[in-house]
Amino acid sequence: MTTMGKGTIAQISALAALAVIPLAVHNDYYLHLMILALMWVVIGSAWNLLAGYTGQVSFGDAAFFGTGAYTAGLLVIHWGWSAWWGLLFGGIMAVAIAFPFGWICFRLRGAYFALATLALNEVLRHVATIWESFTQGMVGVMIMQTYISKLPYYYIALALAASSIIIIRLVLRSRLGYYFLSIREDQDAAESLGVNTHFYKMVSLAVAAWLTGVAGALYMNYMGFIDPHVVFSLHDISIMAILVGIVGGVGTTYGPAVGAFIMVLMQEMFRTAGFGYIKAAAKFTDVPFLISASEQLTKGHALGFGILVVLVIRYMPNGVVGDWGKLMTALRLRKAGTTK
Amino acid sequence: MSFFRADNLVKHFGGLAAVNGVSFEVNEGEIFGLIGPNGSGKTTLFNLISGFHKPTSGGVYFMDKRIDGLKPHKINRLGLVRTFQVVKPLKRMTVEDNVIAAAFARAGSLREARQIALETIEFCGLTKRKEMLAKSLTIGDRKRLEITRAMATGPKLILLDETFAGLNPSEQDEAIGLIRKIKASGVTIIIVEHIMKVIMSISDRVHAINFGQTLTEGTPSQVVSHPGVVEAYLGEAYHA
Repeated sequence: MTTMGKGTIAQISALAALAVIPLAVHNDYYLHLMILALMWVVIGSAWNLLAGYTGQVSFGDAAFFGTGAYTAGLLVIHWGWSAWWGLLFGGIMAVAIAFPFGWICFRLRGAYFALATLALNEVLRHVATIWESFTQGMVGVMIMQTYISKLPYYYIALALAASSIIIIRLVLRSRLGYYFLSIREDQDAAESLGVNTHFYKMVSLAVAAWLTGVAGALYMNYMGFIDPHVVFSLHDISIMAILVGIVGGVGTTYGPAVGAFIMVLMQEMFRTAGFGYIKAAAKFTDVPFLISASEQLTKGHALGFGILVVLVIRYMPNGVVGDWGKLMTALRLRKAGTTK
Repeated sequence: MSFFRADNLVKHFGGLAAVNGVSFEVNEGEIFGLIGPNGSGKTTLFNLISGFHKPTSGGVYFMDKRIDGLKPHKINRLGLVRTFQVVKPLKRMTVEDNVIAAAFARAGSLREARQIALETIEFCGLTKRKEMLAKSLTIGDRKRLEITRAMATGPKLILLDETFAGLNPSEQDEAIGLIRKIKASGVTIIIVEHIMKVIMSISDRVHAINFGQTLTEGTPSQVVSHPGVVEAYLGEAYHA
């Protein structure tokens, strides 16, 4: 009971800390990174529900993310609605795609299902590119953002991130959660115990798609611009969702939340070549090696992610949260070693 | 009206007839033994009855309802549940959570499911292990968990597939006790078993098959003295 109390206190203080950060940090750039990280908490948690808890790995989360984003954007373009309706309808549209997709593709197991999600991702990206009369194709969708300040977006993203974690916790404590886990552990056993495995896999996919679609709609509202290559991106969205889950900890409630912050930081570090410090150092010292290093780092972000995944799978297969104890002991041992 | 009936079941895998025209009836409340040497089609028969395979021809009737071709989870909801010869524990879940997942078959809320699970765990004698992860159980306890989970779904008929394989003699005696207890609680049992001592001591009636076909059916003593069974299943040594 005391541990449960401790857990609740930790959760509330983490939430409180996140709520006051923007009051202390007035830097728009850091706020921007925080908003992205919170958005990735939603997507990562959704991916984790399907892959980590139900055992159905998706390689195509961008399908649902892009659907949500486009729903929000096209509501503005074609019907003149507020893009904020996307938070509702983006989720609904993602489910509308996920349900029939799941009905057909959950006949496939394991890697074959993962490949089907990859295909869905690509199909939707091409549809968004080719159907120019409706989606404006490669031109993309541009809308006016509601707020100039980043603060409202920050709090909306925080609310969505907190809600998605609460939703997943509620799901795990219900019939759904037990059924999802039993499907992950052994599909035939679950089926023999009266679980309609096909249907409940679809439910898990629908919840994941809904959350991911909502995150996509938030992205449209926040960024004000999307095009098919951004929101249906295989490596920037679908693979990133997997990385968030794996680095944070597959099958742990808070893994994706931690993974989201780590991965957004990593992504930014590669994009800006060490937050611009290497470039600054190059300018300052005038060492040509540093200039080329900063250029290579920017180009090599996919390689960097690849190396990261290999390291995580090799040394922390359960992610930062799942292998937290292991990580701490390793650090403590090293410390003890150096003091000797 | 019959409680359970398998009618002329046939199952082909490619050119091989794994089950070839097997019929039998099971009465409510009895323990019905199914014996036969390795590869004789017992597990295939179980897969046909529980919905994991669709019969090539023939029918399965449970409480006057035709159930062949239904999905396993639908068959489970009708009150017919199976266990697996190669046990399938939900490894990264505790014993209690394993049974709760099963108990949801007849519970509306988690509280109700937990209640049913704990009662079933107590009934099957796993209370001491309920906090343990299923993957850390011994083979004996895994088999027991398999039965506990099946019982938690509230079955009228339970199919036990080689529950005794791999158990030591004292575990076997415990398992016999559990099966008798299940029968006493009003659940009908079809059991596939290799160990003659077990099948002879607990079955009310026994059905013997070989090469996917019926050899004979009757009381344990009738079946064990049938020449076909002696030759095919027990071997020449038993004859002498």
